[in-house]
Parts: sequence; C-alpha cells; structure tokens
Amino acid sequence: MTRRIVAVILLSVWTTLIVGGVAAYVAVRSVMLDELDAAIAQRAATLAVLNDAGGLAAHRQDYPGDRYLVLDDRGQTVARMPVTTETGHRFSIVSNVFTTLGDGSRVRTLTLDTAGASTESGQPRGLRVVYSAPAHSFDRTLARLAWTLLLGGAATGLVAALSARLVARRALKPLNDATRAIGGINVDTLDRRLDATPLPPELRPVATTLNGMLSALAEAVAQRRQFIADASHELRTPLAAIIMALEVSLSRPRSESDQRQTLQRCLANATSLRRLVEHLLDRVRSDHMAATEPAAAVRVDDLLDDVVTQVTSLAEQRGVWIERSCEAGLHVTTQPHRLRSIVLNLVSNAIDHNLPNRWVHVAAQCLDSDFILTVSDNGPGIAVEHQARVFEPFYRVSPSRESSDGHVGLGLFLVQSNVTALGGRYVLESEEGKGTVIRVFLPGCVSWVHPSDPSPISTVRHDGAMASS
Amino acid sequence: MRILVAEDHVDLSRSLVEGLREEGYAVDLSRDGQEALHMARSHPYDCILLDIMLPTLDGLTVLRTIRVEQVRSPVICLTARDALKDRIDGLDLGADDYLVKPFAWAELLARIRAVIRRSKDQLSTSIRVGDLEIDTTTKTVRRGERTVHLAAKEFALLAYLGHHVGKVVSRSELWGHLYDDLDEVGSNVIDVYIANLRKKIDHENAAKLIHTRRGQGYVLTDKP
Repeated sequence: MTRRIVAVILLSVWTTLIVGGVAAYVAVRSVMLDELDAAIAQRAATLAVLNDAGGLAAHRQDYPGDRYLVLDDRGQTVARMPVTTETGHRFSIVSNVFTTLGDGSRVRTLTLDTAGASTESGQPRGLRVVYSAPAHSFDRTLARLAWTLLLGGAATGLVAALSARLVARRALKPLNDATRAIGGINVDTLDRRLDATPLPPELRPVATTLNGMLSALAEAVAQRRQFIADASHELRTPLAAIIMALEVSLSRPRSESDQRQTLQRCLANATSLRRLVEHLLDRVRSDHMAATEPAAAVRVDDLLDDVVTQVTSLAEQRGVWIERSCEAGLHVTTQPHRLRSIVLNLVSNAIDHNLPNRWVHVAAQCLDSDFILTVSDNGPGIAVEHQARVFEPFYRVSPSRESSDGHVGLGLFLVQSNVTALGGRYVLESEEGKGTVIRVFLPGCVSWVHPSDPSPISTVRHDGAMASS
Repeated sequence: MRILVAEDHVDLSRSLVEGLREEGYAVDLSRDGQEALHMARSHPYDCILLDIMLPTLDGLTVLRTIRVEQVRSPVICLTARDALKDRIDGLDLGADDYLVKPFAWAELLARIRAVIRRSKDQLSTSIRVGDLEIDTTTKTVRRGERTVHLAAKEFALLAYLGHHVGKVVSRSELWGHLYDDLDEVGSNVIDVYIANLRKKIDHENAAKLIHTRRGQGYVLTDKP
C-alpha cells in the first residue's frame, strides 16, 4: 500500500516536473535564440552600414570569434570577416543554422539579404551577409538550465517520494496497528476490542463493526462453553454414581440382594445418561441440520400421529392421557426435523412432569399463515420463579439432581433453539396446581382443505392410562 | 474418624456413605448446603467431602463460611466441574483437596487419609509408639513382631489415639469421631473397645501403651 502510494506520487511529481521543465526549456531556448539572432542581425546590419560608408574594408572585428562574408548583388565578395552603428538596411534572414567548425566549436550562422535600403546617395545596394557568431554562451546557458531543471526535478521528486512515503506510513499506521490488534485476537481473547479513537474517521465504522462482531462471537463462544461445561457436569455426575456404586460394591463380598440393588442403581443412572446423550446428540444434529435441511411441506396431521405414537408408552407408564386435535389438511413449510423435535420435546416434557390420571393436549391450527402449536396439560404447573428459566439448558425445577426422574433439563432448551432457528416464537403460561400451556408460533402455514374431507377438525384420543389398566 | 459427606446426588451419596462406613469411618450425610453448613459448624469433622453444586447453598459458599468461622476440618471438594478456574477458586477458598467426578474409590480413600494425616501434622502413613506400629493405609497393626488383628471400630479408635500420641483424649471426643448421627450407641461403648484394645495390644507385653487418666480420658504413649 505504502509502496503504491509512493510510486504514484513519485510518478505524478516527475511527470509534472518533466513536462514543466521541457516547456520552460523550450520557451527559454526560443527566447534566447531570438535574442542571439537579433544580435547577429544587428552586427550584420552594422557591416552593411559600413559598406555603404565605404569603410567596411577597414573594419576590424568588434566581437571576437565572429566571422562574416559580405557579398554584393553580383555575388562579388565585398568584405570578409573584417564599424559605426546605424541602421538603414532591412535584412531578411535567409537562413539561420548552427554549424560546428573544424575545431569543434559551435557557431550560429545567419545568412541575411538586404534589398538595398535608401542610402544617402539614394542608390539601392543589395548585399548578402553571411554572419557567424560563437554559440558557446548560448549553449552554456541552456545546458546549465537543462541541468538545473533535471537535477532540481529529480531532487524534488525524491523529496516528494520520501514525504509521500512518510505521510502514507503515518496514515496507514493506525490501520497497521488495528491489523496487528485483530491478528492477536483468538478464541481465548474474544474480550479484546479495537480502539477506534486513533483511527481516521473513515476507518472508524470498520472498527465499530468489527467490535460488534467480536461481541456477538464472544457471546456465542461463552454460551457454547457454558453449554459444554454444563453438559460435562451432567454427564459426570451419573457416571460418578455408577463408578462409585460398582467400586464400593466390588470392594468386599456382597449378598445377591445387595448386588441386585447396586445394579439397579447403576441401571437407573445409565438410563439417565443415555437420555442425556440422546438429547445432546439431538441438539448437535439440529445444529447441523440448520445449514443442510431444506424446508419442506409437512403434513401436520401425520406428524402429530407419529409423535403421539412415539410417546404412548411413556404416557402409559406415567398414567397420563394424550389428546390431539388438528385442522384437516394443515401443512407447514418448514424444516421437518426441527418441527418434529419441537413437538416431540414439548409433548414428552408435558407427560414427564405430569401427574397420573391427568391429560396432555396437543393442538395445531393455522391463523393468518402462522402455524400455532399448543401443548397444554392440567399437571402441577410451574412456579413463577422457574417460568422464565425452564428454557435454559440443564435447568431443572427441582434443585436436586435426582437421577430417578431421568430429566436432563434439555427438552425445553431444544424447543427454544429450534423455534428460534425457524424464525418463530413461543409463549408459556402456567399456574401452579392448574397446569401449563406452551404455544409455539411458526411462519409458513397453509391450510389445504380437501373437498372430500368430511370433518374440518380431527380429534384423536389416546387413553394411555385406560388402555394399560 | 468422622466424615461429613455433603452431596445431593442420591445414588452417589448413598454409595459414598456405605463405602466409607465399611472403611471404618463414621459418616454423616447432608444433601443440602444449609444443612451441611450447620453440621460442619456443630461438629469438628476429621474430613468434609463437599460437592460444589448443592441445593439451597452452594458448596463454595459453605466452604467460605466455615473457613471464616475458623472451622478447621479438612475439606475435599467433589465436583463435576473441572475448569482450572473452578479448581483454583475451591483451593483459594480453603479447600484442602479437589477431586473431579467421576473419581476412583481408591483415590478418594487415599486423599481422605492424606488430608487427615496432614491435619494431624503427620508425615508418614504409619504411626509408631514404642514398638507399636499402626499403618493407616493398610490398616494393619503390629506390636513388635506380632501382628494384631483389630475390628474396624477398634482400629479407628486406636488410629485416633495414635493421631494424638501423648495427648489425653476424652471419651466423648472419641465417641464423636467414631460414631455418626445414625449410630445409636452410648459413649460407654468406648470403654468396651478400650478394653478390647488393651487385651489385643498390651496384654502380652510388660510395657503398657494405653493408659487411663481418671476423669479425663485415654492416652496412647510409651512414656507413662
């Protein structure tokens, strides 16, 4: 960058100086040449006047180095190189050339003709004067001028280049500093920010944008770290319980019933571990899915059927009834895996935290192209202080990490991340002792009511508790 | 030796308590931070196993509070968090050791022995009194060339006296370090164990090592 700026400035300065120098040289040269020629013509005219006065033959040279040849109109030599100043003759310059003599010196030779001006005698006398004068003074002056221009130009160019370099360096220093600062930021130092104050005003928005990006990155990394720390904590505790139970059990001989108890405890912990791992993998998969899974039209009817079938055995275990209702022909254009994860986690969470002989209702409807999924239950409800936090990862309403209930505290977190990823939102309403309603709103709903479909709403009741009893 | 286990995970705490009791320790269990704090204040435990994530009051707060209140029981933090910062925080607040879950049973036992040894200013794992040698690691006792076989509680009592060689230990202190809140025995059980120990250690030797200080308690020493 600096080099390019220096090169451009150097080039433009030198171009300007060369053009200016050449123009000055040409102008000065032409002025000087005119003066030289005028001086030579003046001297030639003097010769002509002398000739008229008849004193040309006695003329001695006034100017050292000048040579002349004066011819009359018949071509006869009147005088050769050999003094008053009066003009009467009008010369026209026939030619003016520089010639180099045998000794290497340069002279200016003018050939001048006079048509014969009126003289005192009134006789016109045509004369031709060939007059040479040394050009060394002229040459020296011009050479000096040329050198002055050349050296001055070169020096000015260099000075310009150096100052350009200095200015460019100074101008680029904040940028270089910023580059170095950015280069020093890695995943462990995301709390660093660029200082925008030393930057020129043009670069400040870049720093602001970068700082904003760093903040967003830092937050994402911190969230991920927290998630990993929480996840490792959640994985280690049941693992510690299993290892401890087995080691203590193996440390001395045990009765069969003792061993059985130990194995049952281990199984319970292993089951909760398996659940946790499944949830973690589900989360990783849905993260991965975000980039790859294309949106597709999902038939909500089928999806709800699928999910209800999947949770039936859990519902039977807990003695919870499941109901579902859905407008016929409802379709959502969305990422199918995410939608399925949302429904499944909401429904199994509602069953998990419910009491025997209560119900869980899952309903889907379409309102102004918003897909609304409602999962409600008449279970124990969630206390106000927990309501805002149940969507956080690994958050559990019960403060103790009971392994027996098998909750890992990731279900609603998965719902939250998937709803957010699909551009939707959710609302939780809950009252202790009365139940909980979670509504999810997703964009992209279309209702295709088939004309042959007789009922607009299909309701299916899964009496889990009844069926098993 | 009496240990307080403050751990809220049901299965893990149950295994810890059972295992430690089998090792001859008296063990009290708390599954809640407030309760653990109360228990740590009310009894000079020989060791406290403290989980960091406890309901009602987190383990680090419990640790900070008991250290401010000059409770000297050695504390081993048990936690599933292994970030360097967590470990440094725990140790800076006055923890004597830090064990990340899941840990090996043998390692936990070794660390408990180590912090107890350190808290009693002992450098070696074995205690020597005259020709009596008590190895706290292998739980073996030798008097001269003779190996003495002791029951778990007998060993625990002897080891406690051994940790306080030359000092008089009262019966109630002994009782407090050998029995937890679940043991429904009176302090006269100590007299029974002392009698057993004398039988097994001093009976065949002319030089007696276990002495009674009337009205004060017992002392283990070779300088009567």
